[in-house]
Amino acid sequence: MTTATTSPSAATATDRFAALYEGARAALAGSARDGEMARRDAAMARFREMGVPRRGDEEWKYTNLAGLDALPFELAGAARVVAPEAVEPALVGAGPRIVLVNGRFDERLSDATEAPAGVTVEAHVPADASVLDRCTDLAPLPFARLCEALAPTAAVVRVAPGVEAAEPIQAVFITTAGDAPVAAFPRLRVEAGAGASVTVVETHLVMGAGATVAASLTEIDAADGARVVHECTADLNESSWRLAAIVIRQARSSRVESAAVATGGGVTRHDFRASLDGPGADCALRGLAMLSRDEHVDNHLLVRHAAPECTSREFFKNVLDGSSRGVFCGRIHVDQDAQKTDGVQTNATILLSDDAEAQSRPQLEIYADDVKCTHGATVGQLDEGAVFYLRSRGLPEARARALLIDGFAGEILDAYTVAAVRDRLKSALFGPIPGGAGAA
Amino acid sequence: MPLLEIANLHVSVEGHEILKGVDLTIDTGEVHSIMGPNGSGKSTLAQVIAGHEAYEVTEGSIRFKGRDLLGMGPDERAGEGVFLAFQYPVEIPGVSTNYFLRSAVNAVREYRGQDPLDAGSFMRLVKEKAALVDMNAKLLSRAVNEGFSGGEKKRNEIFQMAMLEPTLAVLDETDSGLDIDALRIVADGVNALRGADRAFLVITHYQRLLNYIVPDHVHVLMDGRIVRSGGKDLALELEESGYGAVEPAAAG
Repeated sequence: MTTATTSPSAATATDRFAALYEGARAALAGSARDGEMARRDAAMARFREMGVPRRGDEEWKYTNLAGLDALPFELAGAARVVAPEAVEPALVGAGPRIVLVNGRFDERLSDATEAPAGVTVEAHVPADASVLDRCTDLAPLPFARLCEALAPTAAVVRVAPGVEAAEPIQAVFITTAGDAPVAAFPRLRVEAGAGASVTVVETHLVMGAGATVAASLTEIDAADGARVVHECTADLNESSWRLAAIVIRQARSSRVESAAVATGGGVTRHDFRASLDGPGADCALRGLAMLSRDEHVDNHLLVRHAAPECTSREFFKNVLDGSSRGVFCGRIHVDQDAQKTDGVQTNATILLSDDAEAQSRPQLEIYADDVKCTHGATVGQLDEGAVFYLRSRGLPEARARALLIDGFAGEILDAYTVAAVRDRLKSALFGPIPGGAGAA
Repeated sequence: MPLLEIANLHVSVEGHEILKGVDLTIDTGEVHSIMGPNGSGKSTLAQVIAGHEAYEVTEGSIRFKGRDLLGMGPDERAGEGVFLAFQYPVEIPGVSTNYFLRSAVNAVREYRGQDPLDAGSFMRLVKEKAALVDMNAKLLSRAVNEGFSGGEKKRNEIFQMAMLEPTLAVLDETDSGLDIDALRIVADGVNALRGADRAFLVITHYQRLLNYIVPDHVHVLMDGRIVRSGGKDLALELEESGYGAVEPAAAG
């Protein structure tokens, strides 16, 4: 590893990240296991080769990261103490839970003692990044490499072959914002053995009002016949940059569902990558952005059908108000051998204001000749005929509009299998329901 | 005081005058029917009573229970007791009929100063009213009107009417697209709701519906004006002689 050539007052975000790494390297090395530093150095080197994407980068065409250069961020503090009461509202149930504060395992807030036999929930640095490696074959993920280099530790959920984890397992990542901007590197890894089944809820919380930059990496590895449900939510502040990669590798006949809802924040980028490596794998990705100010959410996905007879479904929706922006860029890539691929990709956006903006680019890239793939995108306004219909039944205009939005977003929200997550999202988005009872 | 009083109503859509001076008075307990050829302005009248904003009232007034109806939004009108059964009921993806109805019933109750119905009372009311129109309970858990057949949509309209207990119900070509069995079920539902404290305005192109929902008064709307009014026999007369034979001079 070369030594840092930049000072802490570095001019670009790329240099600043490099400086953070140099500053943190000694501490990371102190607790490193065999080969860990070599992997971190290699990841950092790859990040530096790519750097923070610039405007001309086609993959980042609609998400401008220039603002990061002006942010003098430091590593999120190691010694922050978070009160249990502050985390309580975000918890979804009695299942095992692991909490990382600014990238460090917080034993007091975590509770993995109840994990059933065959299920481990612990904090350690993974010995490889093979899922990420596989999922960056076709296109790189600079911030995922940055996370691989800088994440002090990771939340690791492992389910042994054949074991079904009944309760959802929750991984909570807290970033404490302060007066000065901070950078954080949340990392989650889910490994489901052959025939195993698990639901993992990934929760990101930014506490405080200051600026944060989080480069997060979620790796999901599903062995033959494994079933993984991954549901992600983020409670951010207006000055949050959330740059998240969700990378998924699926073996034969496995099923993975992954969903991410964005309801606020500053700039959010989700890079979903799935590699369907075994025949008969089934992947469902869902996303919803409901924005009302000047937030920016960019859902980028690349699903690679690398084996025959795999199924993928990608459903992404945006509801955009204020001067918010929603970007969707989805690509289904079908390898030459991936015959009988069944892929469907849709993106639908409702614009609620003249200043909101949507970009949508669904793409298919098919090298096999016997496949069934469709994609579609719609951008429109709320159906005024439906607003009138609801109002004619007595619903005040605001309630009529909210109900229509609820219905539109419902397709994504109702697919959330963890009731506590779904209900929390719904009440955050739509408020308490008059007279109680859910919408579905 | 009449329940509904329409005076010299002129209505335009995108600068096109559709209604050219409609006068119509309906008292509580009465059933009025408006008949007329296509394009005569029947549906426009229905939409204007319900408060659709695409229709511009250029002249005239509508008073409901003595109050200016045109100054109210569609939801206030519903709260006051106006109901429109749509000719083309709208599909609401992602919103279950049950949830929609409960929101609507409680919104109207709130407007009327009543407490919201709890889940138990609501379900009892649903069961009672669904029986009126033989509404399949399975439809209630489906999204509003989505994938409903034509007949199911119309039944759903009458079911909603029963749930919301309006004082004035306007039925806009509820018979269109219905086979005879569905027509009878819908008509039975309407008849069950007839009463001294409620009035109906039944808009139809054909006389057939009026065999089942027998009106007290029949009006003929042509080219934006009511050109003739009479008793229920007028409908039969129109059925025989057609709209072409209506004498505009006989208006009144």
